[in-house]
Amino acid sequence: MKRFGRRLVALLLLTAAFAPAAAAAAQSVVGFESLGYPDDIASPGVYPAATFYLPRYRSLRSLALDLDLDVAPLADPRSSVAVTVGGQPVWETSVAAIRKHNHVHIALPLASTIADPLAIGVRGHLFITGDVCSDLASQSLFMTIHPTSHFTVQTSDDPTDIRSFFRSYENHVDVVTPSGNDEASRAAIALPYRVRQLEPWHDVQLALVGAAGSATRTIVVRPGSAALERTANVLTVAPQQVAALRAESTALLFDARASGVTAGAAAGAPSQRVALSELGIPNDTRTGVGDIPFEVPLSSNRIGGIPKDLHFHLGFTHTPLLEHTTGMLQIQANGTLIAARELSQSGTTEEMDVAVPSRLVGTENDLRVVASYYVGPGSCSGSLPALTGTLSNASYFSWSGLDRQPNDVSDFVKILSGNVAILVSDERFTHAAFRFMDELGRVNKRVRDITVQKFDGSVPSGYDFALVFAPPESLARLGLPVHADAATFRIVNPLDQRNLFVSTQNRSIGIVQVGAASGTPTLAFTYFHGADGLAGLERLSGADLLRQVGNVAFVADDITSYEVGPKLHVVYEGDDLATKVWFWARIPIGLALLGAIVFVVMFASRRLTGRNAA
Amino acid sequence: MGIALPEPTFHRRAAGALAYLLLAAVLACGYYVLGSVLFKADFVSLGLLFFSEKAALALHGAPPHLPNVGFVYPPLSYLIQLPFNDAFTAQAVLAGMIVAAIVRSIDRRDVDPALGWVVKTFIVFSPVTLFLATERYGELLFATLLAASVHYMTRFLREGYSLHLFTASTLLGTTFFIDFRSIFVMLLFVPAMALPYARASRAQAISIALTVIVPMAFFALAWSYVNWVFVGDPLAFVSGSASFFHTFTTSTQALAAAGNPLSSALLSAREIAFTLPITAPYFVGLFYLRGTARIPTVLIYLGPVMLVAMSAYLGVYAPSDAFVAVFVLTFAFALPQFRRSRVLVCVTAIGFVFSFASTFVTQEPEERAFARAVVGGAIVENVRDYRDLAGVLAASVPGDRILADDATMFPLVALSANPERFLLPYQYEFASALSNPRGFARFVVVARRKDDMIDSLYPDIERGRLVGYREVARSERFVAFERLANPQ
Repeated sequence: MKRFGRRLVALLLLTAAFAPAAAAAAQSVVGFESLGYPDDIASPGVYPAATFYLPRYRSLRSLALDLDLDVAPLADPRSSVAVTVGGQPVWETSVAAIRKHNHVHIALPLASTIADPLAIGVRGHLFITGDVCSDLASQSLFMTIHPTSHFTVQTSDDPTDIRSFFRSYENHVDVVTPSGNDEASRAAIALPYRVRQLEPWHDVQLALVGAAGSATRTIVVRPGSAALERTANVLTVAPQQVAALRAESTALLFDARASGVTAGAAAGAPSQRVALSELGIPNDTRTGVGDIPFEVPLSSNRIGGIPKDLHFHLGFTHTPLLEHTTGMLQIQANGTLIAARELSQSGTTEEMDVAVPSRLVGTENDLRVVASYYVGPGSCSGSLPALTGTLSNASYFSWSGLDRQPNDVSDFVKILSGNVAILVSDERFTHAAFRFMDELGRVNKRVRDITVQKFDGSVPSGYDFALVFAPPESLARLGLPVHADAATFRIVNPLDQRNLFVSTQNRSIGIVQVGAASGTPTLAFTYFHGADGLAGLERLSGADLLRQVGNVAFVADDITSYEVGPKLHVVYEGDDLATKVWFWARIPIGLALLGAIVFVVMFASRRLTGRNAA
Repeated sequence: MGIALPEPTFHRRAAGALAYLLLAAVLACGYYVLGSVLFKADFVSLGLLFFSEKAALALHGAPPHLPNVGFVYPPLSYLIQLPFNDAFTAQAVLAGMIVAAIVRSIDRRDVDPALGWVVKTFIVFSPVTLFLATERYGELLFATLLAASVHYMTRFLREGYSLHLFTASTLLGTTFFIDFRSIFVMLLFVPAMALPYARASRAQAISIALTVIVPMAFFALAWSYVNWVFVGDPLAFVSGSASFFHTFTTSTQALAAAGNPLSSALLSAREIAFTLPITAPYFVGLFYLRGTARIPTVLIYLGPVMLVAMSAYLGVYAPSDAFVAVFVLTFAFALPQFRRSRVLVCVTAIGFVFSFASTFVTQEPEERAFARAVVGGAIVENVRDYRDLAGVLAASVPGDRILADDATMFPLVALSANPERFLLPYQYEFASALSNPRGFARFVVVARRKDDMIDSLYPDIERGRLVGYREVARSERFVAFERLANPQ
């Protein structure tokens, strides 16, 4: 017995020695706000519906949904609300039951689907009178899901698996750099963007800190460390390996269980078409009556510029139209109807090639495919004929070229893509650059390669875009609209000589400017009158940046942009007199020049024709 | 058998001119009173407000905005209202002059008196023409000029005077500056005018074709040049963001038929058939046309049909009274060419009666609302919310700026007493105000439409949220905010 006991202990020790590291169990809460729903989700109609997507990571063990919702007060208590996973109903209750607490907790079975991502749907079947036709016409039915709803996720994963570090349902990440280490600070600048690329499905909260804090995940950038190393919730990264953390290299990265992984650079010729599947839009099937809309967003940050000669090639399959019904397929671009076609009675795949008028194409484009299905008068009596249509994700956009020269800060943020250089002069700008890359990752995930370098006063060639973080005196060679190293300056409206902005020596501000250094579109971040102005840049949000429709933005307590150049003028101290003289004298000078030219031409003409000799 | 008209003398001419002026004045007063009554009851054509806003900004904008007069839009409708300084007065005076001119031209010609009176009654009192005369003088002018050019072309074919040809082509060219779609009729007019002369003299046929083409081509190229110089795109008036073609809503059916010859022909036939109770005299008149060169004359007379068909084919057709009026006025100008017939008189009288009923079912909401207001007395308010908001804004400090996108909020600018208070996209500081409204504007007014520039940058506006502002007004069409505290 004693011998058996010794053998058992030895066997257990041996098993432990050769077994993979013990799995760590954890529980995470994924709020709807983190999924991109900060406000109420209101869905109208007899069949209101909303679908949420969660990645199905290998570590996922169980999933529960806490739903806070309201249903239209006029809806009959016998109306119902169901929850589906992968299209399969897994839970259902009556509206009367929902009204008791306006909150339900549902444990979602994961065995019913193997799909990734998991599509979790909330669908209502609402009625008032029982006559679906009159209920539909009443427009009084709706369902509202509140953003306090959330998923609760139980996970269990290997604490040494690098792949699962970026396959986490937790959304708080601390980035730690050793203080005073320039190389580590610069490398950390690209991290927030890379993390957002790796985990695009939720809103990751990143913070640049000097030491590990309370965040559930920590990334340490440490010079001299192994390339990638994970210990529990801490991932240690060598500075030169930050560039390797990107979506294209995830297959390689995710198979790595040890350190020393280096991913190669991905390259590819810019495409001139993108399918809806590549935009992350799945085959979308809907059933209904009236207007059945399918949203197809196309942002310039998904294709790397503003498309020229944009076309939309649509594939739409639908069921046959019943007797006494009519159907129409409409395509709207940014709220304007641009094409329409009658649906065939027999039901088929409709293919349309639609040119989107250039006047409607911008950095953000919302295409709507609307299948309109209407029942003739008297043909709707209790049972409602419905149309089922599928917008194929093989539908695609095509274009002849991209406009990649941004005119303003907002355009720059949207168009930024490809191979980007981040040029940082010194450590004072690290937090501003980190913040910008973090916010950029929220609104634009098109940057392929990021190179972070020390700024030497110029923008190196070979990059699609450049981001410069430097003090004003070192920006002279970039040809920016405003010389922030001037003693004072004003932004003037030349039409009425009003000052729209006047710099003051006792107030520091941050400045963001769009330029084109050596032909490379450049966004420069600097300050005026002291580096205290960088505080504003460290607070910039993605939403702020997208509202800057001027090419120069001044950041202090708030942020205001100006169209400096073709519209507004910048006047520096000492320039005032010359500017005023030129403004008032330009027309007389022009007329005098014109008169001189006319005189010369007349004189030459007379000499050549010899009339004066006569 | 024609009526023997007395020889014109100076006194007769003077009396005729006086009669014209008197009639024009009476009609103008009538139109002004009718327009004012409707406006007081909060109904006005948004098209008229569109003109009104452009003129207000051209005259009182800060700074005055000349491109608003129409470097992109057809300019004639804008320019002729500028001297009046008020779109409503301009509307009444111009409509009075146009309708009086049509009535006088019928009086001066050899026309069946019964038919003449029915047609004059139709033109003065029918809701179709009354709507154009009260709310859309631009479209009335377009229909009149196009109908007059048809008239002078057929006169040239009949009488051979080159003055008629010159007048016709100039009038036709002028229509380009009101509605660019008039260029479509050239496809029919040029061959119909030139081919009858081709057998006798190729040179004469070419010169006639050139005479028809040149004014329109000159105006089109000149307009393209002006667009190129001032807007940077020679085709801005066709495809630019502010193009005339985006000022009206093309129906889904019209878009579905666009580009397909059969579908667009069917659409045109259906649309024309829908207006037949009113336009029947025009088509019945085809059978009563007299004179030589009948086939070319018929082809020219069918110019309005060509206009509808080509508009449908190119996807720029929108049903409106203007199209109906082209048919009616073409018929009116062609009266001297018809053989006398009681059928024609009866059909015209029936058309007049039907015009009261037909406008109730027109697809164009403003025409429908106007007909209901005039005939039924039930006025549908369509600018009440804009006017109420203009009142709120007027009560505030005059110097306080108002941020708005006038591509969507032009009715508010037009109804405001101080257009110079608005911060609009053409102004140099608009981008700055967009990025930080608090620094520039006390009020922000946003249309609840995706194409409003402010709404697209501040999506929470629909929920009544704009940082630093509080919501002060909301209607189905807009939300208005007032700044909470001055950040300056």
